[in-house]
Amino acid sequence: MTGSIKLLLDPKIYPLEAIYGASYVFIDKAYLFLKSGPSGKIEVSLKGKKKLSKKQLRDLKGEFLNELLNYTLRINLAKYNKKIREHIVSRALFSALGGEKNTEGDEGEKFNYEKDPFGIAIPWEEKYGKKK
Amino acid sequence: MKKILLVLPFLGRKNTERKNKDMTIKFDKKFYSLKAVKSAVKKYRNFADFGLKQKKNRIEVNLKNIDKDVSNVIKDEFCNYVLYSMKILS
Repeated sequence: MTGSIKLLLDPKIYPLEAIYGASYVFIDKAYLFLKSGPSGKIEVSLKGKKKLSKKQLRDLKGEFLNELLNYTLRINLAKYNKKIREHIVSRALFSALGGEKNTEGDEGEKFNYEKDPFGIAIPWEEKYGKKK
Repeated sequence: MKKILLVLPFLGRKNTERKNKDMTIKFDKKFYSLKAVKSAVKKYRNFADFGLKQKKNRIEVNLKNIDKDVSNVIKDEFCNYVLYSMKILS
């Protein structure tokens, strides 16, 4: 490719999913092509849609690498939070289907606010004020 | 009747000047799936005649009779579309 810049990426650092994600963001700005590089690396060719100077190409490369980091972090976070996310969603769906008794409801029955067992609803004057 | 017969061969493709220059694009199977390449071929079939070949590690796409208006950008645009399909179809 003429007027293009090549990047060699280590798939151990940047997963392929992140490379696809970053490429997708840059599809409007540049022409991208992926191929195998030396020693298992991934070669990404970036070519501007308009004619770009060397500096502009370097900037494009920098922006692409930033986006790549952004996607890598996103993927890692999604991976680390996968279990808790699935747990929250499954619990929410289970509750919505009425598969679980609402524990808050049970406590609510024990401590009915209308009965006011701790005397919270009594005005201060009534509770501590001087009796006339 | 004659008119219809003349138009029929051109149905589904642009009736513009074509370049005879062939072009081959090699897609690494590690990064590009056949499904994505086929979807791109489907989108771009009006601009050239496409031929697909599957090799051990790569998919080869051969372009013939490329539309003159798009001949200088078709390769890059086609590659971008395959990449886009990879993201969308995954």
